[in-house]
Amino acid sequence: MLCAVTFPAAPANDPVELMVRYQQGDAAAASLLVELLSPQLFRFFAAQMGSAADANDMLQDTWLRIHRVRHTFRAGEPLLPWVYAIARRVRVDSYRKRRRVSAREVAADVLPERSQAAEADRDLPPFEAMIAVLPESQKEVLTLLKVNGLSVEEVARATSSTVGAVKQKAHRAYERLRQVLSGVRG
Amino acid sequence: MTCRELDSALDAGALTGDARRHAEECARCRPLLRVLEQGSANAAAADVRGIQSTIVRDLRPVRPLAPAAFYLGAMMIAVAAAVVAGAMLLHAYGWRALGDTRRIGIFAPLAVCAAAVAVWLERQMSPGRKFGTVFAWSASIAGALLAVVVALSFGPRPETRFVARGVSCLRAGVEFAVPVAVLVFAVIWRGASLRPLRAGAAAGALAGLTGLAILEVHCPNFDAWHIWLWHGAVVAICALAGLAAGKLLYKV
Repeated sequence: MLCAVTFPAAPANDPVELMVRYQQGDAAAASLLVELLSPQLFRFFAAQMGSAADANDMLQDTWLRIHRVRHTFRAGEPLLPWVYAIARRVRVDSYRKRRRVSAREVAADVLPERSQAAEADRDLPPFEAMIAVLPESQKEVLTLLKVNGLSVEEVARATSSTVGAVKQKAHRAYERLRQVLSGVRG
Repeated sequence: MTCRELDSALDAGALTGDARRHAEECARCRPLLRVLEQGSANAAAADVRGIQSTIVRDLRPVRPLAPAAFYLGAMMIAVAAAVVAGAMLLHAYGWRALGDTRRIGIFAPLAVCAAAVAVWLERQMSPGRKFGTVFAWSASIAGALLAVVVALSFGPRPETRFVARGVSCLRAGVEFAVPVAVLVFAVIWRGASLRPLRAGAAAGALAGLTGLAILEVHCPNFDAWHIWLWHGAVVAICALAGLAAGKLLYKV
């Protein structure tokens, strides 16, 4: 005899609730969660990779990995650090894979060239171009804080770090950006 | 407000009136704030339909991990049972010869180190857990403290058959560590899939620390070099074996 399992409607804005239902096998909750979290995950990758195609590839890898390890989420824990710890791992793995494939590297201290149009209207470089001058760890922390809107504590959890270390990286990043921006404008 | 205070205000997320005023007036902070605000305003263009269909196609209910206390308890029971079994099978010659002060000096940091490794391992079972690295550092500090205590308590002593006795201790320690490693891997099997090498090394180190504890209970050889090299090697070998096992067992 087939037993139909029904789930009461999940609140659309509660990702933790959606995640729990995803663990229970609720297809609607899984789809909604993908829809809810994908834009910010995409931004997380795009801000650091600078390419929409790469960001989409990594987004897919992240969801496949989330799907495989979805049982490791505990309902009492915050969801975003769990998701971003996985996304971060995907990014690191992808970075290593790419480094193996291609030895080409972009020097971290060189500011990407600005387009003539941007030069003409003396506008500031885009966020992605600006953070390209930062070391990987600072770039990651700044993306999670300013693009994904995570709190310092959530970033510390996602990066297996401490609140103090996250703040230190963020402050160093701000200082470096100030230096670069004063160079751009001067 | 100074630029440094603005940095602290940026940590909190939304800026206060003071911080915003400073950003408007300060030539160094104004462009920084504009660039950071661009980051949060960027629109995303993620393609989610393919992802949704892939996930839904393979969707079935899963049982979430048990509470942390379950895994910690299971690991601690495995370690304690192995130490008791080791003491019974190999005899507690070392324990009897140590004396109360040395017992505390040796076994207190050893217990702290093992507990910290167990908690670190448990923290790795679910991504994004709090204080993971703190326990890794605590374990390292307790391990270093143990090495210092060995140096202060024992010191080098003239010894014949250094290698033969050392190999015998090494073999005994590893033999008792192996079943603990198997049990710990069985306990953490469902988790720790994000960083398998690290989890494997931690599981191996926990088993190695168990082997070390058994050797400290059993071995009456108080030459510091013997303890550092041969007893310490049990932990190092088990951690390396765990690293290799982690790579083989968790392919995610």
